Amino acid sequence: MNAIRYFMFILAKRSLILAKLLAGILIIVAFFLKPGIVVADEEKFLLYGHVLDENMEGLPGARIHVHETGHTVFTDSAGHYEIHGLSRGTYHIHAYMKGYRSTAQTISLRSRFTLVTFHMRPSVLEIGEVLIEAHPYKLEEREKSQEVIVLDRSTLEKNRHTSFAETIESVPGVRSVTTGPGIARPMLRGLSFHRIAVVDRGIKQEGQQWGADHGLEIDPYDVERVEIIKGPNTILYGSDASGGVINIRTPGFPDKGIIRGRIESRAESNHDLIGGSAMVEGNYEDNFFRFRYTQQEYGNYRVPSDSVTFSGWNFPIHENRLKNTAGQEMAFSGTAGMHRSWGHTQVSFSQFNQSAGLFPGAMNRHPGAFNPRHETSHRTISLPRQVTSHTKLISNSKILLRDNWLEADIGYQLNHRREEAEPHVHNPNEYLPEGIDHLILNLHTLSANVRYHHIFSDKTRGIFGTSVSAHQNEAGGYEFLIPEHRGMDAGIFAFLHQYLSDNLIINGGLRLDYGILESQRYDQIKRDATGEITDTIMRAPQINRNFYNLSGTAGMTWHPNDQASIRANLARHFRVPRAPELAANGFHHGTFRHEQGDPDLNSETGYQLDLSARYQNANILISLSPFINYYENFIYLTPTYRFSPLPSRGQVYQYEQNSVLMTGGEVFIEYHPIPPLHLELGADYVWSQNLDQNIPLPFTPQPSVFNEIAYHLPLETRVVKSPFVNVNARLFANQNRVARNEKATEGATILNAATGTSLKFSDRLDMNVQFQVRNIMNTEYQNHLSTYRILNLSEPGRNYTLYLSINL
Amino acid sequence: MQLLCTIKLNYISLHTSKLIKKMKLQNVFLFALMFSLPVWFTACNDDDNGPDDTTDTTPPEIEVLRPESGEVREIREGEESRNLHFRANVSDNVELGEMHIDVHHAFDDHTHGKNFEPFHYDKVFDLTGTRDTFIDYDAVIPNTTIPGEYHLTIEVTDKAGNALADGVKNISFEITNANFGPVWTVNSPEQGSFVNRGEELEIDIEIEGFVDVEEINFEMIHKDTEEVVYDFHRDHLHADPYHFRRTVVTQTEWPAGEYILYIEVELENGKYYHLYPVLEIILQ
Repeated sequence: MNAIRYFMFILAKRSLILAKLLAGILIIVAFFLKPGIVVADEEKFLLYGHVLDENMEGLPGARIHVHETGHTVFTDSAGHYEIHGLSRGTYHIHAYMKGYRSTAQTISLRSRFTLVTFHMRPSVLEIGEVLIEAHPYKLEEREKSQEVIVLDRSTLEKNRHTSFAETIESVPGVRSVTTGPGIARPMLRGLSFHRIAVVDRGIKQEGQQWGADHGLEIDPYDVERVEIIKGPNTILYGSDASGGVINIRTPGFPDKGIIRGRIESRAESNHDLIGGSAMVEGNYEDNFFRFRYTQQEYGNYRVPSDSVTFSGWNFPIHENRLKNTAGQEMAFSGTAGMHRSWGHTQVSFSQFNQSAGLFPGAMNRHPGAFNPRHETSHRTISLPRQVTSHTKLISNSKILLRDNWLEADIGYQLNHRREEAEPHVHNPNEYLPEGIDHLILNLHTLSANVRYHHIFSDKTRGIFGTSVSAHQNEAGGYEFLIPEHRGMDAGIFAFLHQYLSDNLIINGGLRLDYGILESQRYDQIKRDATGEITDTIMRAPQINRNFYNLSGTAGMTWHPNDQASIRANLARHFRVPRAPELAANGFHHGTFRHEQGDPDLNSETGYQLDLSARYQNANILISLSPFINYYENFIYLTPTYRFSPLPSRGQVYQYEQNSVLMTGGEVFIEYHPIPPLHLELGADYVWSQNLDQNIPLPFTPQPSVFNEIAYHLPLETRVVKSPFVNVNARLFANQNRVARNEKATEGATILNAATGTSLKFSDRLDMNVQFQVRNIMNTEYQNHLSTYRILNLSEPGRNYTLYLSINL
Repeated sequence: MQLLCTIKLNYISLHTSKLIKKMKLQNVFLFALMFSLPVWFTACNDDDNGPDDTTDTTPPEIEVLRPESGEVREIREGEESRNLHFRANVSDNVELGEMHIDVHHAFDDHTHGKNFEPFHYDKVFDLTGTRDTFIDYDAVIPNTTIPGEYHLTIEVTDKAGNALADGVKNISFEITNANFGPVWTVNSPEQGSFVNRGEELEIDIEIEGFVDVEEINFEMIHKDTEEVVYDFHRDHLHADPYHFRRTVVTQTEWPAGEYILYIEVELENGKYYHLYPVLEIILQ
C-alpha cells in the first residue's frame, strides 16, 4: 500500500515530467491508430492449410499454434488443419513436429478464408529455431540480431537443481552466484546482481539484487520455458538489462474443455532433498485457470572433505556435512484469465517463501566462538539464517487494435527479507540488542509496461512503449546496512525492425529514461551496556538524485543461405545506481565485510558489441558468439586500507566507479553422427579488466567447457517413449585473474550421468522418470562464484537424484 | 583432468565402436575434434596470468615476535593486572595502510556477571606513510579476567587495500589468573550445623561460573577417617549460573563426627575450582 501511496506522491510531485512522457506516448499511439476503431469486428475468419514435408507430402500430427490467442490444433492424416474463430488481425503461427525444424509465419488475416502452408524440413537437432515468445519480440529466433537461448520444459527437467538459477547453468555463458545449494542468482557472461533483468510474467523481478548472498526468489517448478538474451537489452527492459535478460514464460493454456494436472517430485541424496510440485489447469469456454503448489526441503550438504581452513584456523567438518546449510521452500501461484476475439487477459498471484541456513563460520570473525558440531538434526535451520518471501500480483493483457496488438503488464511485488542472527557484542561495555532480527528489508515495487506493436508493412514492424515503476524500501532490524529509500523510474522507447531483402534484416531502437531516488538519512543511536543513550552517529546521509539516460541499439541479421546466419548487435546500455551502492554503510554478513556506498555515483553506461555466427544443417549445429563490452563507469566494490569503525571491524569495502572492459564468448556444437547419438560441446570464456586500476573484476567466472554424449536407447515400445542415457563432463579452468584480495580458484572436472524415459500409458496419463548422478567422482572443488569461496568451503560431493513427473 | 578426458574418450570408443562403423570418415574426424577440444583447453589453462605488474597487488607482510603461540600470561594472586606484549615487524612493498589487532576469548560466548569478564582488546593502528615499521605495544590484562585460551587476530592492509596473504594472522595464547574463581552462594546447610543420622541433609548452592559450569563433583568425607560416605557426579551441565540442589538421606550406620562437604566444579575453560572455605557439618 505504501508503494501505491508513494506512487501517487511521486505522480503529484513530478507530474510535469510524467505528463510530458505520457503525452509523448499517447501521441505516438494515436498516430498509428486510426481513430474510432477500438475493438475488432464481429466477423470471424478461417485460417487453413497444410503442413508438408520435404517431399511435399502432408505431415499428420503436426502441431499448429497461434501465438496471440493460444489456439492449438493438430493436422489430420492428410496434413490438413483448420483454425476457426479468429478475428481480423496479425498473428504469429508456429508449426511443430518431432524430427523437423520448427517453423513460424507471421500472417495478416484480412480475408474470410486464409490459406497458409508450412514446409517442414527434417532435423534431429533438439535445439530448433523457434519463435521467441518473450515480450515484446514475436519474431523467429533467426530474425533477431542478438542470440536468444530457449530452454523448454524437457531441457529444464533434465537440468533441475535445487534453485532456478542453477537449473539454467547448462547454457554456455550462463552461471550462478551461489551461497550453498538453495541460494543462487543467475550470471550471464560474468555479469550478475543488478545487471541482469529477470522477467517473470512480463514484470521485472525486484528483490534485494545487490547482495551476493541474496538468491533469486523464483519457484524452479513454476517455469515452463526460459528465454535468455546474453547481451544488453536496456532498450526494451530498462535499467537492469545491461548485462542480459532472463525471461521466464508461463505455459500456454490447455484447449477448451480440458482440465489437466501434473505432479512432480524429486529426491536428492547429497543434501537429503525431498521436493515436489503439483499443478492443475483447465479451460472452460476460453476462461482458464492454473494453480500450483510447491514444497521442497533439504538438509546440510555433504562435501568430500573432513576439514576446512579459513582465517588461518583449521575446523573439522563433522560427518562430512556443512553445518547449518539446510533450507526449506514453499511456493504457490494461481492464474485466471480469458481468451476472447479481442485478445487475452490474465491475472496471477504468486508467492515464494524460503528459509535457508548460513554456514555459521561465515558470521563470526572469531573462530573461537564457532562450534562446528551439528544441531540435533541435519535438517534444523538454526541461526544465522535468511528468511525471504516474494509476493507478486501481476496482470497481463494483449488487446487486438484492428491489425495490431497492444500489450500491457501491470505488477505489484513485495520482497520481504529477514536475516536472523544472534546479536553479538564485541566488547562487554557495548549494548547487546534484543531479539534475532539482524536485518529486515521490505521492498515494494509497482510496475507497468505498455507496448504497442505496429506492422507498417510486410517488411517493417515497430514496437513503441513505455515502462514506469515506483519502489519503496523499508528497513529494520538491530543492525544497519542500507537506508530506507524510495524512487521512481520511467522510460519511453521505440524499436524498428526492417527487412532490407529476404535474407538481410536490420533493427534499431532508442530509449529515454528518467529516474529519481530518495534515500533517507540514518542516525544510529549508540548505547552503553545498560541501554543508556550515549551518542548518535550518522550512518547514511539524505540523498536525492535524478538520473537521465539515453540508450540505443542497432543490429543486423544476415542469412547467406538457409543453413548459415551472421548477426551483429551494437548497444549503448545503462544502469541507474541503486540505493545500496549510494548509501550502504554497515557490516554485510553475507559477504563478511563492511560495505560502504558513495552518494555521488553516476549512472553506469557502456557499449556492447555482440556477434554471432551459426551454421545448422540436418544433423549439426555450430554456433560461435563472441562479445566485447566496454563500461565507461562500472560500479563495483573494492577494498580500502581502512578498518571499519563498527564493532565487527574488518576492512571497509567501498563502491567505486571505473572504466571496465569485458570480452569473451561462447562456442556451442551439437552433432548427431547418427540420429540417436547426441554429442554436445559448449564452452564459455570471460575476460575482464578494470582499465583504471589495471586489475580484473571480482566474480569473473572460471572458463568452462561442457561436454555431453547422449544416446537415445532403441527400447521404444507403445509405452516406453524416448528412453535415453547420457554422460557429461563439465570442466572448470583455473581462475587466476582475480580482483584485489580475491582468492584464485583452481579448476576441476565434474563428471555426471543420467538415464530416464517417458512412459505413455494412455492419452490422459503419462510419466517421466529420470535418475541422475552428479559429481560421480566425488571431486573436491571450489566454485569461484560461491560466496562460501572466501571460507574455502567445498562444493557438494556426489549426488544421486531421482525425478518423477506424472501428467494426468 | 587430462586423465579424465582420456577415460572419457575410451568410454566413447568402447560404447560406440559399432556406431562409428556406420559413420563416414569425416564424421569421425569431427567427432574426435569435438571431444579433444577440452584437452587443448586444459593444456592452455595455466597460461592465464593474473593482473599486470604496474598495479600494487602485493600484500603487506607481518612477523609477530610476541606473543608467541601458546604463550601463558599469568596474573598472580593479589596482582592488579599483567601486560600483553605485542611486538611485530610490519612491512609493505609500497606503503602500509592500517593494522587491526583484536583479542577475543576462545571459549563459548555468553552473558557475563560483574566480577569476572573475558578479556577483550581491540585497536586500530594507523601505519600510513610507512613502508616498514616495528610495533611495540602493551595491552593491560586486568585481574578480573576469566582465565582460559585466547586468540589474538591481526589484520594488516596496505594503502592500495591489499590485505595479508592469508587474510588474517592468528595467535593462540593463554591467560591464567590466580585471583579468579567462581562465586558460590551457600543457601544450605549452614557452616558447622548439626544433623541427626537418618535425617535428610538439604544441599542448596548457587554457583556463578562466568563461563559455563560443565561438571560437578560432590563428596561427603569423614574428617578423621577420610572415608567417603556419599558421592555425586554430573557432567555436560553447560549452565551458568548453575544451581546445585540435592537431598542427602544420611544413614544411621555412617560414623558420627565431623564431615567435610567437598564440592568441585569444572568450568568450560577446562579449569577446576572447589568451594572455599570448605563446608563442614557434624553428624550425631
